[in-house]
Amino acid sequence: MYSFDVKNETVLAIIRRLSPFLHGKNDALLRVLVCAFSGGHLLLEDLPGLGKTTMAIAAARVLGLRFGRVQCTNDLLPTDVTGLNIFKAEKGAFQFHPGPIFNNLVLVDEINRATPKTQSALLEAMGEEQVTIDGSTYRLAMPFMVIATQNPIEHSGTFPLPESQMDRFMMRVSIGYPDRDSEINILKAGSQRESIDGIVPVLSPEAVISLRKAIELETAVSDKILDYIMTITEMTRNHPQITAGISTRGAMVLLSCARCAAWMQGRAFVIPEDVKAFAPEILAHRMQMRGAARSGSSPEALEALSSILSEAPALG
Amino acid sequence: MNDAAPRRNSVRVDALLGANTAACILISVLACSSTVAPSRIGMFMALFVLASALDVFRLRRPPRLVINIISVGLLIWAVRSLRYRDVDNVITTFTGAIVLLLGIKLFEEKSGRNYVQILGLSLLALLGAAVVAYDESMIYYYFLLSLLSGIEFVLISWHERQPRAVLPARAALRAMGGGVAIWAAMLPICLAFFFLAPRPQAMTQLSQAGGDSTFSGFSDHVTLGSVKEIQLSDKIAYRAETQMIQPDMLYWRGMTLEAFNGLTWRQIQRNVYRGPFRPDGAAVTQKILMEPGHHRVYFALDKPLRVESENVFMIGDGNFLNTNSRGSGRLDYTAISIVSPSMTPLNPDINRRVYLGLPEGFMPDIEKIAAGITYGKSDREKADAIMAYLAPPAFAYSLDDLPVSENPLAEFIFSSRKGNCEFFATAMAVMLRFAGVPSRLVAGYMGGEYNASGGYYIVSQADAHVWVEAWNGESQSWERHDPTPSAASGGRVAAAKYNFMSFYIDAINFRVSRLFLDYDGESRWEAIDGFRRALGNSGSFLMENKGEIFLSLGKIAAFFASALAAFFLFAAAKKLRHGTKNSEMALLDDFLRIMKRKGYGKKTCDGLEEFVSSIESGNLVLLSAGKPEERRERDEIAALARAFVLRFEEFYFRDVSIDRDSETELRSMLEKIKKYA
Repeated sequence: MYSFDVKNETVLAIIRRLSPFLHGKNDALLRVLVCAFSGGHLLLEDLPGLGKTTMAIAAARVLGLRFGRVQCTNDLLPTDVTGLNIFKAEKGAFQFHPGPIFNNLVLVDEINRATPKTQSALLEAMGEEQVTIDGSTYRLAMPFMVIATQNPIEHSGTFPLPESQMDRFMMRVSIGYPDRDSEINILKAGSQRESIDGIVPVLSPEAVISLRKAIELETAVSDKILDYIMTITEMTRNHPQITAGISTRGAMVLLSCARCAAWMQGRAFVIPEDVKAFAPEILAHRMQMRGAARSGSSPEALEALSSILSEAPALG
Repeated sequence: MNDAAPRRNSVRVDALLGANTAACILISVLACSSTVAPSRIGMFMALFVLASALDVFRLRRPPRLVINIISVGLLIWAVRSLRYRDVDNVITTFTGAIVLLLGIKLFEEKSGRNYVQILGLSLLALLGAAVVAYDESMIYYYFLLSLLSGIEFVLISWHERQPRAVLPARAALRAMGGGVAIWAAMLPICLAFFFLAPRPQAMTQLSQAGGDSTFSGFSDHVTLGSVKEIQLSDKIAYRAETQMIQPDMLYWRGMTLEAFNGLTWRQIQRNVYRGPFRPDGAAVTQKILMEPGHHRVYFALDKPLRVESENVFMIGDGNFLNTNSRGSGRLDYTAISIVSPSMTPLNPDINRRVYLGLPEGFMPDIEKIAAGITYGKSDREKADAIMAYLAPPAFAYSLDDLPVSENPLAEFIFSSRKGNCEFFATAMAVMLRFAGVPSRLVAGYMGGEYNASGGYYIVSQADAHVWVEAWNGESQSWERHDPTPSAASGGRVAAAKYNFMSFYIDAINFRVSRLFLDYDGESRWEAIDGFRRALGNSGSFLMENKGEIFLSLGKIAAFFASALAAFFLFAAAKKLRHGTKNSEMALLDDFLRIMKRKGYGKKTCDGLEEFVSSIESGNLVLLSAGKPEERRERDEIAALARAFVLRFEEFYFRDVSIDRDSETELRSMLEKIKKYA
C-alpha cells in the first residue's frame, strides 16, 4: 500500500491519538480518513479477526462521530437498517423509530450476507444521504459515512454486491495481516475495546464538514492534473482486458481523493503522486475485467491498473 | 549589497547607466549637429546642463504636467518653420525636434522605460541626420551608438531589478562585456540586413530648387545668365563599371545641343540628320547604374555606340533617349562606346544651316573677334585659335558671380571674363559659328572618381559638364573641344572627398544595389562565382588586385551568413526541444536533462517527487552497488533535486507563471545540480 509523510496537523493529531491501537494499520487508517474527509464510503475486505471493527470504532471516536452498527444476516430487513414507523397506542399515531443508519459513521458488518433487498436499501441511503419510509423522507445525519466489511473467502450463503453498487464505495481496502512485531504487540496489549471508548475526539461532526469544504476549496488543481486523471480514465476505457472502465464518478472520486492526499501532505495543490496514491483502492473495484468471474479488485484488475499507471505520462 | 556608501572599487549601477545614457545622447546630438539648426542644439545643451545640475545637486524634478507643457511648447517652436514640400527640411526639422525631445526626456523619472525611449530617440535622431547628410562619419557614429546601446540594455535590465545596486568594479566590467557581446552578436544580423534590405536612397536624391543659386547637375538645355552662382552638389549621378580610362578621355556624353537662341541651347528634333558614325577604335563596355531620378537620356563614355536597356531610343550622333523618362527609379544599363575625341558620321552631309545657325543680328562684336582670330585658317586651326583666345589667364573659371544680364554672353566675353563651362562652351560654339565652322554643344559629365575596390567610376552631379564639338571639314568628322579651363572644371574640385574607406563601403553598396536590381539573376550568379573563386584561392588575393577586396568581403559575408545560419539553426533546435513551451516547461526540460546526464532518468509515469524518492531509495540506478561515497553523492544530488522539485511544483502544478526572481533561483538550483561532481 502506497504511503506518504503526513504533514497536516489535524491528521497528525489523529494518528498520534490512535497510535496505541493502530499496530501497523496506519495505511488503512489513512484511507479511512481520506474517505471521511472526501465524503466517501469505504469497503473493507478482509478475513474476520483482523481488526476491521476496531478500526471503524476507533475512527468514529477520534473524529467525534456518532457510531452505529449493522450486523448483516440473510434475514436482515431494510427497516432494520433504516428504521420504521411504530404505532404508539397512547398517542394514537405512528412514530418513526430511526434505524442504525441515522448515525454519522455506520459500520455495516459482512454486507454480503444481507439480502439484495437490504443491500439495496442500504446502498441507496449511501448514495442519496436520505431514506424514505412510508412516503416520508428523512435526511441522514451529516457527515454520513459507511464502512462496510465483507469476507472475501466465504461464498456460501452470501449475496455478492452487484457491480453497479460497487461504484458507491469510494475505496475498497484490505487491511491484511499485521506484521510480526505488530502482532506481538497486539498479543501483549490484549483486547482494547474498552480503552477505545476512552479515546478523546480530535474533531466533531461540524469540524469534519468544514474540513471537507476547506479541502475542496483550498486545494488547487492544475489542468495538468485533470489531464492526467483523464488520461488514466481513458486508458482504462480503452484497455483490451477491461470491459467497463472508470466512470465519470470514478474520475471525480479520484480527483477528490487526490485533493485530500495533497491536503494531508500540507500542500495547497495536487501533484500526480496524489492522484496515484490511492488509485488502486479507488479504481480497481470499479473496473470489470474481461472473462472475470466476479467484479471487484481481482488480481487481473490490479495488474491492468498498475500497467496503466506505469504508462500514463505523469507530467503531460 | 544595498548599502548607500559605495565601497572602494565598486560602482553604482544607476550612475553607470546615467553616464552611458548621456554618452548615447551626446553621440547622436553630435551626429546631428551639422544638419540640425544650431538653435535646437543650443536649446538641447541648455536642457542637458540644467538636467545634469538637477541631478548633481539632488534638486526636485519639475512635476510631470510642467514637463509636458514645456515639451509641447518646445515642439511647436521646433516645427514652426516646417516646409513640408522640401524633404530635407522636413527631416532636419523633425530631427531637431527629436533632439529637443531628448533634452526634455532627461527631466523625466529614471525608469527603464524612459531609458529605452531615450535610446530609441537617439537612434532616430542619428537616422534623421544620416538621411539628410550621409557621410562616412555616420558609420562611426552608428557603430559607437550601437555598441553603447548593447551596454545600455544590460545596465537597464540590471537597474530594473535592483535600482540601487552597487557592483564591484570587476562585475560591472563583466556586465559591460556582456553588452559588448550583445553588440557583437548583433553585428552579423546587421550585416545581413545591410545586404538584404532595400535602402531608401531616393530620399536623398530629390533635386533642390533655390532662388539665386542652383546646384550643379545635368540638364537637357543650357541657359546662360539665369543664376548668379552654382553650388557643387556632391550627390552621385551614377556609377559606371568599366576599365580605367585616360583622364582626358573621361567625357560622358548625354545629348547634343545644336539650337541657340542667344540665351539657351536646346536639342532640336527636326532638320538635323543624326545617324550612325564610324566605329574607329577599341570598344569599351560600361555597366552603368544611375541613381534614382527622372532620366531622359542615357549617358555613356564619349562616343556611345550602343546602349542596351529597355526603352532605348537611338537618335544618332551618340544620343540615346530614355522613352520611359517618367519612371523615377534607378536605371541600370550597359553601354558600348568608342573612346575617341572625334566622331566621323557615316553620312558626312551635315545640315550646315542648323550647325551654323545664330539669331538674326546676334552680337556683331563677337563676330568681329571671331573673324579676326580665325581669318584664313583651316577648320582645325580656327578651333585651336578660339580655344587659345578663351584660355586663362584672360578667362577664368568660376561658379560664383556669374554674369546675370540681358546678354550674359557679352558680359562674359567683354567684361567679367569669369564663368563656368556653359559660358566657355557657348562662347566657343558661337565664335565657331561666326567663323563658319559648324559646331554644337554636348551636355554630359566629365571626369569621375575611379573606385579601384569596385572597378567603377563614381560620377557625381558636380561632374556635370558642357563641351563643344566642331566640324572638321577635312577629316569629315566632329572633333571634341573643351574650352573650359580643365584644372578647375567640375569634379576636380571635389576630388579629395573620397578616401579608401568610403570607396570600400561604396563598392559594397554598389554591388548590393546591382545584385538586387538585376532580376535576370546574372549578376547574382557572377557574385556567387566570385565568392567561389575567392574561397578557392584565398592566399593569392592579397592586394595584387584591389577588385579582389570585394571578393574577400564576400568571404567575410559568407562567414557571417553561415554563422548566422548556424545560430538560427541552434535556436530552432532549442525551440524545437522546448516546443512552444513557457519558461516552466523549459525549466522542467532542463532539470530532467541535467538529471539524465547525471545518470538518473525519470520514467514518464513518475511524478517529480516520486522520481526524487526513487533516487533516494536507489530503485532507479543500480550503479551504487554499496560504495559509500557513491551513495553519498546520490543522496546529495537527490537532496538538491528535491529542493528544486518542491520549489518548482509550487508554480507548475498551480498554473502560476514563474516570476523572474524565482526563475533565477530555480535556475541557480539547476546550476548547482549541474555542477555537482
